Order: sequence, then structure tokens, then C-alpha cells
Amino acid sequence: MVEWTTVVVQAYIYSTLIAFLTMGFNLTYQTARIPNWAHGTFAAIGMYITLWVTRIWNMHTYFSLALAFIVVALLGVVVYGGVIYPLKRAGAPEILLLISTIAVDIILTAVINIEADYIMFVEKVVSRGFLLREEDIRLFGYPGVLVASTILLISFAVFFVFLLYFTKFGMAMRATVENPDLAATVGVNVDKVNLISWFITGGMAGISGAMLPLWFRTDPSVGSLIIINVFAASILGGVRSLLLAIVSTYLIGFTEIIGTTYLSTIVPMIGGVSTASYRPLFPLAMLVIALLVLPEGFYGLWEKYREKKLKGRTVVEES
Amino acid sequence: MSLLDFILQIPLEGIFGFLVDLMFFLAVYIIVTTALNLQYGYTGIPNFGLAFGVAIGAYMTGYLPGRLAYMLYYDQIAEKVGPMCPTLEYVRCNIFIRNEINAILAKDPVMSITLLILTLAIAVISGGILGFIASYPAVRLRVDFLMMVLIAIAEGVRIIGMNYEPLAGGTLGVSVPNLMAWTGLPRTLQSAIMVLGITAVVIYYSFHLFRSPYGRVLKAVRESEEAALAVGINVNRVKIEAMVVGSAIAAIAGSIYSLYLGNVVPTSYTRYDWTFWPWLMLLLGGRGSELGAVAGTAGIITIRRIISVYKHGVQPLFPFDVVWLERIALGVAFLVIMMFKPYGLFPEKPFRIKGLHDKPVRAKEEKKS
Repeated sequence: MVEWTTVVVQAYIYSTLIAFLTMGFNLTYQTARIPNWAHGTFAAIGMYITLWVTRIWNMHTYFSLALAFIVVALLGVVVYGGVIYPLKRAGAPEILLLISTIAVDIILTAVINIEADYIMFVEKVVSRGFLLREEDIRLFGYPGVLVASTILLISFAVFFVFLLYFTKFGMAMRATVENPDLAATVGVNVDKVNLISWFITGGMAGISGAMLPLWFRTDPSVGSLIIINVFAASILGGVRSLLLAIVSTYLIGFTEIIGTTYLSTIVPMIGGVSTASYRPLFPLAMLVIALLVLPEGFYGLWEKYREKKLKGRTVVEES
Repeated sequence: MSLLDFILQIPLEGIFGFLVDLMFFLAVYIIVTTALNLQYGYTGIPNFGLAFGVAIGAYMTGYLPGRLAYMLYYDQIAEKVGPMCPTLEYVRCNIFIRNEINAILAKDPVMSITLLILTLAIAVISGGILGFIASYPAVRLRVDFLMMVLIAIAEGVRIIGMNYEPLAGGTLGVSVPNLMAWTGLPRTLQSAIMVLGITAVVIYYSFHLFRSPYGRVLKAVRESEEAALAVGINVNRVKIEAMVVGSAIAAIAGSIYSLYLGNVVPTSYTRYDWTFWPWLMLLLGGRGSELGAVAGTAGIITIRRIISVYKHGVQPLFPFDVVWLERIALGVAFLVIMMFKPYGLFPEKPFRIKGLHDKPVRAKEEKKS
């Protein structure tokens, strides 16, 4: 018998943590105009920072959140400033920029694996398939990661709304999203906007990864699996919107986890292995369906609705 | 028979074995880079799911010829395998069944060749179908969406192959019957000869395809989709066709690779070996240039084979698996090539059509963008 409460909690935490990534992915996608394939691996770096802090330094787990934010945010800055910015300056076409993030991902994945091997062989700590659930604290009678991730996600969402709509820098950011060249001509420092957005989104990815081992069993390949959830959520929500991206992340995360659990209760085995092994196919299926049915995502739907509404109003005003 | 005797006497170890191995890998990877050159070099589709074409070819090779031969000679095989493996299930009793099939096929060249051709045909067809399925949802959208979907679908194919046991044995893999046993040569050598033959056919085909009017259509789509549309080219259709043909070619590589190894282990069709390394080969050589594709492949395969020989000697020096150092080198090589040699070592040359160009005209825009 499946305990559905546990499944729902799992789906909720999973989606919440991926929502950090989707938001960041969309933001850099919009400002720098390239999908950052290494975004999942940024989170994987956060995972190993948590492991390092908790098991080797024996410090409090939540200290790793702050450390992961800073380390991965700086990494984001290094990736943008060291790889993408020079390529853009050299006038590289869009495809080469896409490939450059893949190259970054290859390097970072290798670095994480080296770190995992080092932790295993030198520090003698389990570093593949590790779980730090017992290290977590309880807040208000709930698992700490559940409360902390929710609070952090809401505060990041509020922060972004404030930043984008109530500050001058946010206006510059939105201008960069609309048209980088035009923004540059009216005096927006597009590179600064990009650097800061990579800093923030890198940090968010670090936090998300740092909280992941508190509830899920993780190993270095997690980054390349959750990036597919991020893609799917980003496309389903529409790459232009941060808040709709959160909604679609929850939709996809819940479909994935609840769908897999439900399917395993009906068909426990497919082709000699448990049905749960096919779990990553769920976000993939959602991605394909989203592309076929709703290529512009929820944002496209919302925009259409808004256009219709605006049109109706102008007609009324004219008549 | 003296020549055959001579070949049989050569020991397959040492330098000769290394060269046969090198030649084989070179041939297989030339097929893969040709497929990628068709998709990325000519049509401009950033196919980062290249591995799924290779993988489906390999899975089909693991799935089909063994089962077909088993069905054909069921009574004969069941009689001998029965005592050793009573379930007589194909995947579970795989090794015993394969041994029996090999013994039977060694005496039957006609059946072996029929099975070989059938296997390659099915691999090509399934590669093509998968190429269509993978490109259809996203081909109308922006190029980055297409890339994401291709990456995701390659991941999906890998997950299915690794888990679904009837297809290719799951994580353990299945063995493939030796379809060239009737030649009587050592397995590596006969496979290397077969692979070279198939590679020659693929190179001949791609050479003609790239030089045909259709090759120019592909380049038109790559250079400007709007301009191609304006002159009446169905851009989406051309892209899907390039994906279908490219995946079919990649499936040939997967099929002959597993025929050579004699088994299909789905975990070995990783995106590093079959997507990223071929990409690096093509980028190093120069996209859209056949010479570049072959030269890039040759260079990187040689380096990688040499590394694979000496890897174990270096391993004790590091507290981690040295394969990750190779991966870091791969990533850094990508970045270095993109920053300093974005058109590769042998950049693509403009088309020269007889009577149209008196002298080669180098488009300036091409250099800029």
C-alpha cells in the first residue's frame, strides 16, 4: 500500500527545489538569450557543498545553504564572464553559445565526480547515493527542508517581483530582456545586467542543490536528470515568465512523482525492472506534449488572453 | 590460401591488434561524424542527441538477429540449451543460445549474410523513425528548443535501453551472434573488414549527397531559414529529413559497433562517447567540411585510443578515476576550439559549380557570422 501523504510531500519538496532552478534558468535564458544547459550541474555542486559541510567539516547543514549560494553564484559569474561573454564579444553565433554551456557542463560534471571520488577515497565518506535526511532539523513540527525551501522560494519570488518592477535596475533588466541592443543604446549596461543575473541565478541553483540531499538520495548524475525537468517546466510555463515557470514546475514535478507511484501500483514491473526506473520519462513526455500542444507555454495563453482583453477595451473606447 | 594462412598467423595482440582496433574505431566514428556533419554541418541542426541514433542501432542489433536465428533454429538450439538453461528465454539464456547460433551460422554463409543485411536494414529504419519522432515536436520552433528536445529524447532512449530488458538486456546487455563466422577469420579482423566496407559506402553516399542540389538546399536552410523559405524550400521538411537520414546513418554505426564487440551493453551508449566526442571531432575538423570531419575524427580517435592504452598506468597517481581528467580535457577542448578556431582546422570551402563560378568566391558574411 502506498502512503500518499509521503508521496505528496516528496513531490512538493522536489518541485519546490526544482522551481528555484526553473526561475533561474528562465531569467538567464531571457537576459543572456541562451539556455544554460549547465544549470542542473550548478545544483549538483550545491549538493556536494552540503555533503562537505555536513560530513567533513561537521558543521550545521543549514550553514551550507549560505556557502552554496556564494560559491555557485561566483561560479555563475565566472562562467558568464569567462566563457559566454568572450564568445559573445567575438560574435559567436547562437549555436556556439549553446555548445559552450554544454562544454561548461562537461567540465563541471567531471569536477563534481572528481570531488565525489576524492571524498570517497581520501575522506572515506559515502559520496554517491548519499542521503542527509537525518541531519535535517524540524521546524514547526515539519521537516526543515520543507519549511525552508517554501520560505526561500516565496522570498525569491517576492524579491524578483520587487527587483524587476520597483527598481531602476529591474527596469534595465527588463529592457535587456526586450532588446539588448536597444537597451545598450539608451545606456543600460547589458553586461552588468547579465553578470548580476548569472550571480543571482547561480546562487539560487546552489541553494536548491544544497537542500536536495536533505530529502533525496543524490549522486553526481542528478544534475543532468533534473535539467530535463527544468527544460520541460520552462517550456510549459513559457520561457518569458518567472511566476508561470513556478506553476509549471509544480505541475511537472507532481505529475512525475505521483504518476510514477500510481503507475507502479498498477504495473509494478515493466521489462524486468520496477516501473519507478522509468521516472525520468515523465517530464520528457510532458515536454513533448507541451511542445506539440502549447509551444508558447502558459505565458503564450496568458498573452493571448491579455491581447483579447485589451483589444476589447480599445474597441469600446473608440465607439 | 597462402594469403589467408598468412593473415591468420599474425598475432592480434600488440601493435597489430592496436592498429586493427584503431582502424575499426576510426571507421565507426567517421560514420557518426558524417551523420552529424549532415545534421549540424550542412543543415545547422544542433543535434546534441546524436547518441540516440547510435543507441537505437545497437539496441536493434541486440534485439533482432539473435532472436530471428533462435526462432529459425528453435528445435535444434532448444535441444542443446535446454539442459543448461531450462527456461529457454532469449535474454536469460543468452550466452548458451548465442554459442549454438554461432555454431550453426558458421556453416551457413547465406543465412549469415541475409541476417547481416536484415539487421543493418532494421537498424537504419528504426534510426530513421526515431529521428522523425525526435525532431517532429520541435522542428517548427527555435533552434534552442529543438536542441533541448533532442537532448531530452536521447536521455529518454538511454533510460529505456538501460531498463527495458527485452530490448537489449537492460544494464547487463545481451550478446550478438557472430554473423561473419563463416569467413573463418578472427572476429576483430573480419569485423574491421566489414566495417571498412560499410564506412566506404556511407562516405560515398554522403559525398554524393553533399554535392547534389539537395546538399545546397541543406546549406540554404542552415544559412538563412527565411531566405530558404522565400525561394520555396520547405524548411521544416528539410530539417526533419536531415534528422531522419542522419539518425539512420548513426544507427548504422551503432549496429556495426555492437556486431564488432559481439554484445550490446546499453550503459555504454553514453552521451559522452556518442554525442560529445563526435561533436568535438566535427568542430575540430570544421563543420560542413568532409575533409575536416574525417581529419578531426582521425586525430581525436588516435589520441583517445592511445590514452585508453596508457590510462591504467596513470591511475594509481590520482585519488580519483582518471576518466574525469579526459572529460575535463574534452570540455576545455570545446571551449578552446570555439574561441580560437570556430570554423575548425579545415574550414568549409564554398561550393564551386562548373560554369557558374570562374573563380571561387568567398562569402564575406560567412566569415563574419
